[in-house]
Amino acid sequence: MIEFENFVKQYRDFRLEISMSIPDSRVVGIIGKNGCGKSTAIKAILGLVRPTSGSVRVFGRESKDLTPRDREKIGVSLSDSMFSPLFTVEDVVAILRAMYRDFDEPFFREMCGRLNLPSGKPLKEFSTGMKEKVKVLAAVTHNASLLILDEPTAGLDVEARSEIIGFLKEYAGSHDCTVLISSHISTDLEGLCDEFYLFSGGRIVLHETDSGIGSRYGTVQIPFELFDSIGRQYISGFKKETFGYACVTNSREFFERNYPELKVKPAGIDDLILLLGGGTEE
Amino acid sequence: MKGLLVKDFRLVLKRKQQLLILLVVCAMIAFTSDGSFVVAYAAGLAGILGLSTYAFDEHDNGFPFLFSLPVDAGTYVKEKYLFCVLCDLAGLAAGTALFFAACATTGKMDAFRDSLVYLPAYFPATLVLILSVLLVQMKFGIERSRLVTLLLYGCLFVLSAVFVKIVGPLDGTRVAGQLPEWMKSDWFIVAGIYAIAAIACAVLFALSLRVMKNREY
Repeated sequence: MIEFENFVKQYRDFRLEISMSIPDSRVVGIIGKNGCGKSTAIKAILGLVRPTSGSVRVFGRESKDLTPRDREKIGVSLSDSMFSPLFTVEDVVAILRAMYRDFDEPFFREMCGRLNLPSGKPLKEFSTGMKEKVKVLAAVTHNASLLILDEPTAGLDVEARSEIIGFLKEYAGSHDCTVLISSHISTDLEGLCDEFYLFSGGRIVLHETDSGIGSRYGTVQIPFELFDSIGRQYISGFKKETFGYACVTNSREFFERNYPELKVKPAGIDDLILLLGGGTEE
Repeated sequence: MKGLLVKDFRLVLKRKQQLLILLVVCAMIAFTSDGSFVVAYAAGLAGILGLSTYAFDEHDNGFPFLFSLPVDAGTYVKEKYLFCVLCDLAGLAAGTALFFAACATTGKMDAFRDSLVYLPAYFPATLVLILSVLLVQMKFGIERSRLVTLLLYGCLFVLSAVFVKIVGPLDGTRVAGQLPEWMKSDWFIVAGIYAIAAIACAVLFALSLRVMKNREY
């Protein structure tokens, strides 16, 4: 569905350099700290930025060559861009109706009711959470086969985040579509994504399935005196702390078996972001 | 294209108060001044109203979202041109109606009949002006385009002044006198204005398309 091949985007002070392949019908999370290249990758998929070298293909076509008909199959919610704040939900409905042949107006209206979105109020008077809900609804109500959601929960309170993530889980579970979702809030993606790409400094530092992270990855606290004696192939990333090194490993079992005295825990996505996306990689 | 037109019409209709004020100003001009100036004024204002939808598209980082919809650069430029044409034509129609009303109520229908042949020429003249500003906005963005437009018009003014200084002021009557008889017809002049404007619009369209296709967001 999406294919980044030796993709490079060079800015004056930032370089994104990735290769990745996102197959059909998968829910894929792009995680990483702010400024690691998540949004640039998403913009590249949409043809909003062009590669300095390499290519990005969507539906088998170069992203810059996507036709309006191709774009009808993509539902998008961007973190910092949306409909004019002058528009009301009624205006949004009229525009989407004219834009998409498969726009499901009854579903859109029903969801607006469920999510308490007033139809006659300008978007500029909406809270951040309400705006995000409108964006996500606009993305999912035209039978898209590819959903691209860039930080759909950024800046939202717990309740709004939970509503949006709940809705996305429901949607992804009941539709045969590929979902690409980026976030720096790991808990939002846990239980939603089939696989993850961890970005750091414009590169992919980890590609792993949800079950792979749960079964193989772990965090382990290693005292200074022990650190050098452990083979580095068992340590994926580490960070110096006061007690020693906070490490992330993709061989949790190795530590559990050979170092029962060490504190070994299953790694969460936050641990991966912290220790792979910001710590020292090995 | 349909979705973009719906968006732009709705954006313009969001400013009903502004529209009403513009209509009142045009009506005042029509009833207090002689001549068909109000027609050009209304066409120009309506064109600017159409042009302003570009600023709304750009406002608040709107373009990334806009181009994530089923829209490509070609469709966007075509729609924006079509919308400006429609606005300009609506302004021309409104201005002509006001001019007619003013002439009819003040008993100056002869002036209206005399001007009638020239009124359609206001449309291409104002349209080229609007579309050239649109091109500058697409190329430089709304903020910088203000300065660039000011500089461009400043340069044009200086060039015209230098031209007049060197060649002397153009005597329209003398130039017209040198033209062959068949070129002096009002309809020929209006058709000539349309032909020149069509070429200018085609060039502006090609440039706008190139600018939008090369933009990144």
